[in-house]
Amino acid sequence: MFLECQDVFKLYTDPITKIQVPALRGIELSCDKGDLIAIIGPGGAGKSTLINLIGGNDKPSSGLILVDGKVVNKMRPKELNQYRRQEVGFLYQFPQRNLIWNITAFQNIIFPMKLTSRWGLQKQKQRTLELLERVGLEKRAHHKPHQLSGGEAQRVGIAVALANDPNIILADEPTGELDSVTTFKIIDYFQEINEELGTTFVVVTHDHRFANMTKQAMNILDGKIIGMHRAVDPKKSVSEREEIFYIDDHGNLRIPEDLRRKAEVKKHVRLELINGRITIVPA
Amino acid sequence: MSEPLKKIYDFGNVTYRFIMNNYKSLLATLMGLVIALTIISTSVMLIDSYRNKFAQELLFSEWNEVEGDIQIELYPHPEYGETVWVKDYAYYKQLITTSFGNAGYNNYFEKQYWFTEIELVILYEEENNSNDYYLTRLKAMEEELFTKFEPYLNPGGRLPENSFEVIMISKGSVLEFEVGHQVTIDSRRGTFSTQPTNVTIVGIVEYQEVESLVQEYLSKKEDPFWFSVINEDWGEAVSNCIILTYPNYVINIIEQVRGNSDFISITKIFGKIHLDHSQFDVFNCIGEISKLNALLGELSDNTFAEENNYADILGNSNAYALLDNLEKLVERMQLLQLLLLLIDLPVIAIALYLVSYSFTLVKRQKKETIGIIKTRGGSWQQILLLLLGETVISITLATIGGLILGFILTTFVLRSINFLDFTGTGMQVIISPTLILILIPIAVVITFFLNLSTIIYYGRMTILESINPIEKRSPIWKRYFFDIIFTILGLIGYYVIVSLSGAITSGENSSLVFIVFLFLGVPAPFFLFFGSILLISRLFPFLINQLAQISWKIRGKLFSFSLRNVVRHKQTATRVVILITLAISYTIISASLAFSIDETKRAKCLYDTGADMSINIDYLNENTIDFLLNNVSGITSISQTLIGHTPSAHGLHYYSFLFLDPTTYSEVAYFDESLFGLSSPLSTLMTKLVDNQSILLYRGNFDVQPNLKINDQFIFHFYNKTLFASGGEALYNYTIVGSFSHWPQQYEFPGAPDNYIFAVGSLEMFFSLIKYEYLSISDTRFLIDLEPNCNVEQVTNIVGEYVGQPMSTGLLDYQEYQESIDRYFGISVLNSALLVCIAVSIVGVLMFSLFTYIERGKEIGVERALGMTRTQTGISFIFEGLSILFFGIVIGLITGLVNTTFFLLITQMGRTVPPIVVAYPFDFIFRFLAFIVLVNVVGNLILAYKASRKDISRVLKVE
Repeated sequence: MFLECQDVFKLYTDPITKIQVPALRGIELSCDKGDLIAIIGPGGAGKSTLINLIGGNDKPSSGLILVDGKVVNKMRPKELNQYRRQEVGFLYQFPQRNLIWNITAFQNIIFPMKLTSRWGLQKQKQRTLELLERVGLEKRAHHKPHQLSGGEAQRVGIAVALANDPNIILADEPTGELDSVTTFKIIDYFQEINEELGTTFVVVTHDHRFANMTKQAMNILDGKIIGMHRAVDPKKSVSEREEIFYIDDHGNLRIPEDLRRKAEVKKHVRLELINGRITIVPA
Repeated sequence: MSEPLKKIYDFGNVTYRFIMNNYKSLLATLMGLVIALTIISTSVMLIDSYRNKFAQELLFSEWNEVEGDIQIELYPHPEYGETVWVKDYAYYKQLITTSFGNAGYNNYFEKQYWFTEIELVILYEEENNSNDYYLTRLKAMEEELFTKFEPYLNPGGRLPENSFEVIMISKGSVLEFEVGHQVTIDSRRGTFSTQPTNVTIVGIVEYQEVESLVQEYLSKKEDPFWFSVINEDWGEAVSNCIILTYPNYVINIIEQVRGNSDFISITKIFGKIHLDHSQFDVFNCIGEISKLNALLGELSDNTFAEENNYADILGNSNAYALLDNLEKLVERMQLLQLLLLLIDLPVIAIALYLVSYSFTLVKRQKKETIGIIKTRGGSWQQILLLLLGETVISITLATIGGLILGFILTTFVLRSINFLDFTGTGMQVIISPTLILILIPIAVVITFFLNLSTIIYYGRMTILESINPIEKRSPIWKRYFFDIIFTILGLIGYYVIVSLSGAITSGENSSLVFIVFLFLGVPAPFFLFFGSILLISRLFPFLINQLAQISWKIRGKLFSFSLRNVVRHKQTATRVVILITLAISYTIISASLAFSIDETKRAKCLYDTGADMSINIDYLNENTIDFLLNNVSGITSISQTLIGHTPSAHGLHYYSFLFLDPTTYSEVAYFDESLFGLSSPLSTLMTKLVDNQSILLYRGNFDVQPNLKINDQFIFHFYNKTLFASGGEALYNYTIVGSFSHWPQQYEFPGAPDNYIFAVGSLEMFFSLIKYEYLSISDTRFLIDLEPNCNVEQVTNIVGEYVGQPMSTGLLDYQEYQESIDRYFGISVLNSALLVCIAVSIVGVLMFSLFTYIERGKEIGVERALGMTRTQTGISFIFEGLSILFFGIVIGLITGLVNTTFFLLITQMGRTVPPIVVAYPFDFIFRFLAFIVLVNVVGNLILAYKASRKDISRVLKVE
């Protein structure tokens, strides 16, 4: 597995009440190199927290996060810097968190390369132009972020995230600020880059349209992965995909509310083993 | 597989990108630092520019021009007086040249003069006249020096051409000689006399007053030698006379008196050496002192160690004065720097506050950028280096900016001739290399002192911290109650100083008291200044909140909405209010102090005479008064004063009265302590003397009679000759309409207040009393008031000549003070501080508006989206800026006026006579405030317009 989260917990302490509040509660997640996975959930489900933990921006309270066999949450600051430089690229919801506002798109893309001095100047320039071309903004190279539309700024953000040729891109609500047309364009870029470069994409979003384009779309709720949409045939729409639910090591299972309502499941159920299958019966 | 990372980090490029990204924030942060460095560099430039003038005043007075910088006196050694000791001047000149050469002082040599002087009794035996003996001074000098006398020769006179021709210099025409007369001279001392010599008087110089002649030479700076004319009264048999002749004549006489000890002590040779003053490096006084000492040593020890002669560089020589004054110049420059530091300290503090304030405002933007860099893999060392790089560039830019602005400001303020009056001719701005050496460390210290902890924090902060909103903790001064501590310390300092002032002025335990003064008195005004402003600013959020609530209740609409916005951003708003308050308060204090110092100086000058001018004369008839009023321009009023006194009829008291005309009396000369022991120029004492039944009573009389109050009746017991014959006394009741503590020195102090009653009344009162001969008149004067800008010297001369009496006036001293370098320097310094304060006041408010415009884009967007019109957005913007400005002005005005009074009280250190005058230049203050309001309104209008034109969809989407 290229990316693996093992029983990841994250507790925050409320600064006023000093009570510990769980943001993530035993996340189990894994994907292979070159996968494009979406983690879908409503606001407050713990999506951004998860992305920050995978990216090494924050440390989990317990559990392990492994990327390419290395334990991210055990990395020292120096290793984390190398990790961010070589392994991971970030893409956030707001362009001002992806881009430095007063420099051009070209300068924004070349900036991470300069920060690492990974290549010579000519290579850096060449790569910057290539990335701009890849996101279709070669003509906007010398425009500053505020001169770009929201979609264009986000495409520059993708190029910036790809600048140092990372193995994995972590995108936090990348289309949260965009209209649907632009959202589909961004999704197309993700797919294209994923296929062409083999870069792993982890996208957290509340946008269910992402489920369509990914092989795996995890559902996250209240700090737990409760299930996923698995594409048997990736060309099928989300409604035609297989929705599977996650049972943790303790045997906990989250049943979606609409199913519970339809089956009239309330507080208590009976589990019956019939023909080797567990049946849930309202009690 | 990724390529390995290079070890070389492209620091320069990344730093450049980082700075370019933050250049707007950088400029905003730099502003305060630039202002601080501007005021420091201006101060240093001012000192350096004025240094030459101070040096000119201290080192090279007109006496140096006249007397030379080094005087050498040669006279026979008491033990070897009989040997040869007079040589020709060329010999001495050579000695001087050699000494200068040995001391390496050749560049400084300008010229030297030599002359000989013998003081002895000379018999003038004039043709056809009886012989007369006169005590005379015989002077011989180099021929070239004779020419200096040419302009002063009586008509028909000429310069001597040989040693048998002389010039007679005498006071008046005592000798009754005429040009062309031949006289026989023999020199006598005791019973000894020289061979009679016939000489021809070829020129006569007469002078009336010794001083005037000397003054004339001085003013023309032409006196080439030590012209100490005889002005002692040596009796009728002698005359004040000098014979001026060639050196050969004197040498001939000296040859004849050789061996006669009576003559030794009265024969001297003088040399005067003029130095080239332009060679003095006033920026290196220490070096100059050392070089001059070397020269003097060379002159004393080597060259003038002439056998059998007693040679000396005069003990009171200008050379020693020059040395002393060089040392004084060093001290004065150091003192000025200290003084300037004290004056500039509040302005520097204000500027630094601006640094910290603007830094807080730009924090969020910087945090975001750092967050992005960290996200892309930037290490904390890289970020630390970036921030340090930014700091170094900030320091460099700020230093350059401070120097350039300092130069511009100095050029401007060097034209100061008065408060905010820059119409003078100006001076050359001197920028010494020391300034740059001072400025860079100061900039480094200031920047690192203010930013180092933040830089380290930013370098080490996590990505998540860069996303979090800025901490909204109260500022440090609020948390640790610095405002209260400062105010209390200031008040304690003030109390201690005022309590100790008596001991300081009386000299008791002066060292201990002085130490206490230094520790408490010097910082007390600063503690009070900053403490009181912060203390009131602490209340600002509460006050503005209350105002917002009241306004909300009475449906203040946009106004109340704007006030609520201010309340919501109270941290930032409070910072701006403090900034404006500091600037305005300091401006008011410095302006008031400058005006008060001027007024106090004027009061002190007038205190001697009691008016702009006064004549001590018994009577001036109406015609004379009318003539003076109508024909002498500049006179506004002439009024009479009389001092009358008498013992009381019951013998318990002695009455002294000053009678004056309250309508024309020069109010300024009479002081009423009306403001905490200070004097108020707004005193209206004279207007209270409305009739011949009103008096002003000396405050000392109140002190010994505690029951006495203003508006009480005071009964005078006059001794009436007519009534006394019948055993009675005359009782007169007067109403006490006011009191006074000080009066002009020219009026006699009557005595201890328990025995002497001292009152001021009108002339009408005098006339009502004098007809019964109750009083004796001891002093009558006429006081003259002048227009503010009239030619005092001219008026003094005209009136003096017309009335035949010399005039007394202190205004000339005041004018001299006004034109003194010290005052021009002080005014320049204050003007520079004021201009900076004006800039800070304007920048402070505009920065608030600017950052509101930048930072609250989304908020404006939401307001607009909720239905606010563009006009309403603009108006609310203006309301916010102006309400903050209004609070700043009110607090600044109050603290400025109060602190001025405290400061003057501390300066006065108890009581001085006359007391320090408190003058608040309200006219100036209101013009200053109006200017700030105007500029801010215009600035806010522009920003309000821009804010109202923001694209709602864009700001909601992007900002």
